[in-house]
Amino acid sequence: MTAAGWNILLYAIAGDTAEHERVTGAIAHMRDALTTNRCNVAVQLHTKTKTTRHWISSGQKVQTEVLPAVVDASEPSSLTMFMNAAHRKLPAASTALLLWAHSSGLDHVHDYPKKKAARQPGLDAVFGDRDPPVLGGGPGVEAVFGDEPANHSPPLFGAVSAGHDWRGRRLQDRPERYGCRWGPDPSTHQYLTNVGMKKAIAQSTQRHVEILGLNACWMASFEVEYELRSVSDVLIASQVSAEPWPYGAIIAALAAAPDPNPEHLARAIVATVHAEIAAGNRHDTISALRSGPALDELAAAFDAYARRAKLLIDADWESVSKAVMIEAQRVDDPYQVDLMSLIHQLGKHDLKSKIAAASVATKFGAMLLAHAASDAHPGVKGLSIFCPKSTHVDLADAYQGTEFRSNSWGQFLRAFQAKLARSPSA
Amino acid sequence: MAVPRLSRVRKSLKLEVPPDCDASLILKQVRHDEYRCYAVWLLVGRDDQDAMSASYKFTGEDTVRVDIPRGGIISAAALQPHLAKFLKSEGTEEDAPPVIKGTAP
Repeated sequence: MTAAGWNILLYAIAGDTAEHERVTGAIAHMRDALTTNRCNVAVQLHTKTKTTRHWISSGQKVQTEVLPAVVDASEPSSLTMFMNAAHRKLPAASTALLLWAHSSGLDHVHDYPKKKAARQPGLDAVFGDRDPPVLGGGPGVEAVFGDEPANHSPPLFGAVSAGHDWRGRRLQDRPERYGCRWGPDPSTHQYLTNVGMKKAIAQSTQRHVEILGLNACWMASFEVEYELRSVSDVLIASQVSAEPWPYGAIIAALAAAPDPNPEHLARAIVATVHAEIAAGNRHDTISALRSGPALDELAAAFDAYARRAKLLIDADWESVSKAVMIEAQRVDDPYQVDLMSLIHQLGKHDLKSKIAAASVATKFGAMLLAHAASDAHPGVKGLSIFCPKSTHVDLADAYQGTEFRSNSWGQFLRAFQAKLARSPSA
Repeated sequence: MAVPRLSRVRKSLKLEVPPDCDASLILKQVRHDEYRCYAVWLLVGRDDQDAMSASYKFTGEDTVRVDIPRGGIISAAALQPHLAKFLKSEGTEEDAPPVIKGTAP
């Protein structure tokens, strides 16, 4: 068999009938649009009762196979096996892996545990800072992070009971992979972590893909894309609550120009979403960024910026606080902010910060291939970053196990949160 | 039964209570884990021709407006099912229903 130019691999979850209909509709649209033998499409669909694979080639009926056992989509090995099966059955020069489900960006975002009796190693271990930890345990933590932190009003119409969070859930009832977000698998209700996603791709026979598309909410974050930089050339994702991509139009674009390089195909994918946004048919965002070394360069530039910004916390708290709490453009995830907006606002009165920010902006400009955003999300430019306004959020867990934890941004967040907790206005 | 009217906020607005409503409020998503949690961020009221209004600056976060018709119940618990239904209708609801801060456990 002659290898095709592209394999489009769609790894999808359908947790209910409506989602199942959306995926099966996408399969039909892709089949109708696939008019070239320079591209093939493989879909692995996870429902509660079965896992199916759908093989789509030009001029042929869709071949559907039901796997002998229900596959857990949250297991990295499940994704690896799908990739390997697709590569064996439909060998291609290039692969675009598209993951379609719900998500919430970073893997482990949640609040601090309510009670911490003793000093924990958490933040020091995660951020490697030699400063004594202000957060994460020890005397005074309960005063700051008690049943309800001082800067947050008690529930408007309810009450918090001991041993429960403010929703009334027992803290020990948290699921094993609490906070992880790509999924959930319809059967196990577990999530594929960003780190797990990286491992799954790295362990496949191809070891990386040309395009990794994350059709899931809030995955266009610096931390997520940095984690995945070694396993893809181009990353496509959304900064906001994402809607399903127009898969039929994507395949039609590929069929119209069947041998694109990864960057051309990424731009075509963004263009299909942009067309729907322009037609008023959707209200989300999408961006395509170069991955690999470009992300390393961006992270290095941002590290220098974060180190400078951390110094401003004590030197100019009023400006820092205003930038983070008010001025920087938020996305519809309560913990993330648009990266370009952040560097435009944070440190705007400080020359060294502005120089460092300009370097970040230059690196980002060089890696941004395409971007589209609905008017409903003003001021988002293609990449978000973790930047919670709240003293609740467990910073140590948020970056635990990620490669981004070594970036100085973690230390900025830690110092910012500590200052926020002590701030009279908090 | 007065059913609250929910709509997506996508830009800054002046929150004014419609003539047929007792109150209008803004819900803003303030956190998520396996649930999405919303807080009541702004609430203005009306009694007959006497009405309050307030400006709301949209900052990009997930924000929903709720207009509560005359005679409706103004409480987080009463609004929660309507918010869940609204998010589901948008096709963006995750596996667990949303929570409004202040909903009794």
